[in-house]
Amino acid sequence: MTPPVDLLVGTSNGAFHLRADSRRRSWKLRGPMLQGWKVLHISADTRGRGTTLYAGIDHTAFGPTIMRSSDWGRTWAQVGTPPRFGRGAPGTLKAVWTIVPGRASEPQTLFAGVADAALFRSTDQGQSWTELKGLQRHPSRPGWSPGNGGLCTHTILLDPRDPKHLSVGISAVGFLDSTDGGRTFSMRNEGLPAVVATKAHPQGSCVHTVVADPTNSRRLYMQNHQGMFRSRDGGERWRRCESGLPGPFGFPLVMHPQDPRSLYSAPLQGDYHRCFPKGRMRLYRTSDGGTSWKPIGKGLPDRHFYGGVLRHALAVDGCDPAGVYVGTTNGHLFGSADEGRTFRRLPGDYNRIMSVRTVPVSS
Amino acid sequence: MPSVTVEVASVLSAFTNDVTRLRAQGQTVGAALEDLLRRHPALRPRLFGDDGTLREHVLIFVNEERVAYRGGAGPTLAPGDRIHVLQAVSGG
Repeated sequence: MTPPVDLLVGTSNGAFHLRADSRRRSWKLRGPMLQGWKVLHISADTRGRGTTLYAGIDHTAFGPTIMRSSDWGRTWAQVGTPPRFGRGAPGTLKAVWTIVPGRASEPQTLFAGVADAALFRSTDQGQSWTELKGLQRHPSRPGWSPGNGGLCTHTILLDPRDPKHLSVGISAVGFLDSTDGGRTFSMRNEGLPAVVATKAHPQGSCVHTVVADPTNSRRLYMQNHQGMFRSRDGGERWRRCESGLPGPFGFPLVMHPQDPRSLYSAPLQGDYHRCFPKGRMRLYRTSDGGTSWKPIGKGLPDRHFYGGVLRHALAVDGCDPAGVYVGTTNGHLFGSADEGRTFRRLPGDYNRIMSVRTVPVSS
Repeated sequence: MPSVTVEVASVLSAFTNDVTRLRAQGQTVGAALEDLLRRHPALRPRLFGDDGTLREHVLIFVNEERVAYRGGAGPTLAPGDRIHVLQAVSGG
């Protein structure tokens, strides 16, 4: 029997919780939570006794912060000391882009990626946050340029086997790797196109999403502003892997929960149009580690669909067969219970969907 | 010391124990806000930036008149005054 699936949806106006029955046919929608706030990212930490939700939220007037809930979003409270830059920092806190629970071996630890281009860590279950200053001190930092969403640290990869090894993706800076727990970072942009080249940072590349093979953390995949890439050596060298994709541009990329050679992407028409090509919504899947991609998504809109998908708005669950979930910039939410072969609309019409996350099934 | 009412925008209720109408005491707008923030410290970074000034799009009204408050002591208050903490809105 497949356990129920929980889906957390962050939008430009509040967040929502959807829970499926064990067959993933019937969904119950609850919300809005955090109404009036833009929810860039919402994640679940299942390492403790219960499930704790974390949301990176933002508001034009009242600014960005991290909220926490231990009752599935019925009540939320701001974490005790949200991420905050110290004096002399090269930027200000503009948005919380991602919140990632730490490794199983460090159950009190979480990481947060924020704009401007910074990484914070909490070692007390999210109560207080301290900046890991390796990004701030990087020699090329004065030349870093923002992407459309700012200098956003949107991707944090934690090596499950090495507590000192972590990597981040930053738009439009690149992929950076640390082997000393975030004290220092090495730029890993070899083979990536430079989109914002400056004298101080001639290789500035607009990374949109990076995922790592959980069975081999040196095997990486990246959706870049200018193409799909993979690396077999932890980002030392990147190579294109776009055969079969309709174009180079897109935001999200997720890995199949059981098959690390199988990934899902959502290619868009291009950086000026950011919609599905020809008004036809399709996801793409590779089953051979990026060597070739094929369109999937029977049941997704076929015509006059002028929305896109943001970097956090594509997710898979841990079921077998895997579920695939995608939220669009025009507020539609779709789900598949058969690995992406067929999709159905899930309940709700939303504002712009910023984030779709599943809660680990083991919880 | 004047006792005043402070009403905050409903979107801030998650930072004030789900209450939007609050009591505060202070001779000035700054003192009353400081009194409020002592009891609701989560609200401070939502109203004030890292430099200690009021966030750009936060507006303060006293008795339905907007006051040019960005930080510090600000206008003097009388007992029973009503402070509103709102967000700037523009467009239609």
